[in-house]
Amino acid sequence: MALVTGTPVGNLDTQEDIYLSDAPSIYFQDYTADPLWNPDGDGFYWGLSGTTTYPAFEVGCPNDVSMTEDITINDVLCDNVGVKDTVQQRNYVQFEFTIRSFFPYQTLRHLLAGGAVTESSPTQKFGMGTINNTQFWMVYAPKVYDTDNGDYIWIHLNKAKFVEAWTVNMPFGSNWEVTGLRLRAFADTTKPSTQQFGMWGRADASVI
Amino acid sequence: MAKRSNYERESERVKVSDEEVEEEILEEKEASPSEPETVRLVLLKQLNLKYVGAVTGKTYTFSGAGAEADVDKEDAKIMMEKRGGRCCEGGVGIPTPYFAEV
Repeated sequence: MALVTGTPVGNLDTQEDIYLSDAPSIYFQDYTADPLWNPDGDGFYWGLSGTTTYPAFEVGCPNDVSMTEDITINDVLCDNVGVKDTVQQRNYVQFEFTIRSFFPYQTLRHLLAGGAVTESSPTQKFGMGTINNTQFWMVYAPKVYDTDNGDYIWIHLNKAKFVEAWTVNMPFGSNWEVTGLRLRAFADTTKPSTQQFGMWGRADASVI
Repeated sequence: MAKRSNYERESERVKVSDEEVEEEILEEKEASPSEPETVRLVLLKQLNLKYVGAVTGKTYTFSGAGAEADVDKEDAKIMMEKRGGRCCEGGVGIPTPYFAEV
């Protein structure tokens, strides 16, 4: 409803009364694989399609999920008038989260930068050695916000890596958790410049 | 007209009978060709897997997702049922198969 005073005149885009809550699901797949849409009919690269060689992994039971970015910001300072502009350059985009699922090891080992899992029933083992810095992942994080109508949003990151040191908390009387997980997406120069880090999407037939 | 001896009749009957038997065997072979004893399975999990067949006791080795091996049919039946990768509440939550037939 227009205010008596203060509403801009002319063409105006208002916001919708739809709110997102709870964490998205988080999936990742080897960057070597192609995204599901590579690209789609609109030229966007997104989605995962697990293959035998490159399965898609689900991050189980994520907590405290947030998404952030790092940018280099430099003011254009003019000594006569002050700052006339600010130049920004995006460095990376990243998900930060905690997980409480430790199994199976073939997923956990990627989160902890461990080695290949060897299974010989009834045991699974993986080593903790040097970190493989050549391993990159695509990341797909969908969130259904209307389960009745199947409306959802998704975030796709093109080329990410688990960075930062993790911590496994083992509290008395409570579940274990891995904190400090950061899935950092770098610029993927094989993608169009407007999607080098990734993209956002929304599917909602009632309003789009 | 010279009469044929009982021996000639008998040997002819036996000859015919042998031919029929051979034909029957051939037909049987064509109808049900011998089936292979093994099935080729591919590992779907990102693992280096050593699997001991529950029926034969043979050890099958798979090196990573996509690795293939010939598996005894009896073991394969059980291996195709093997599931893993459960997730927590809110996740996919469906145990996924270890193997698929190639």
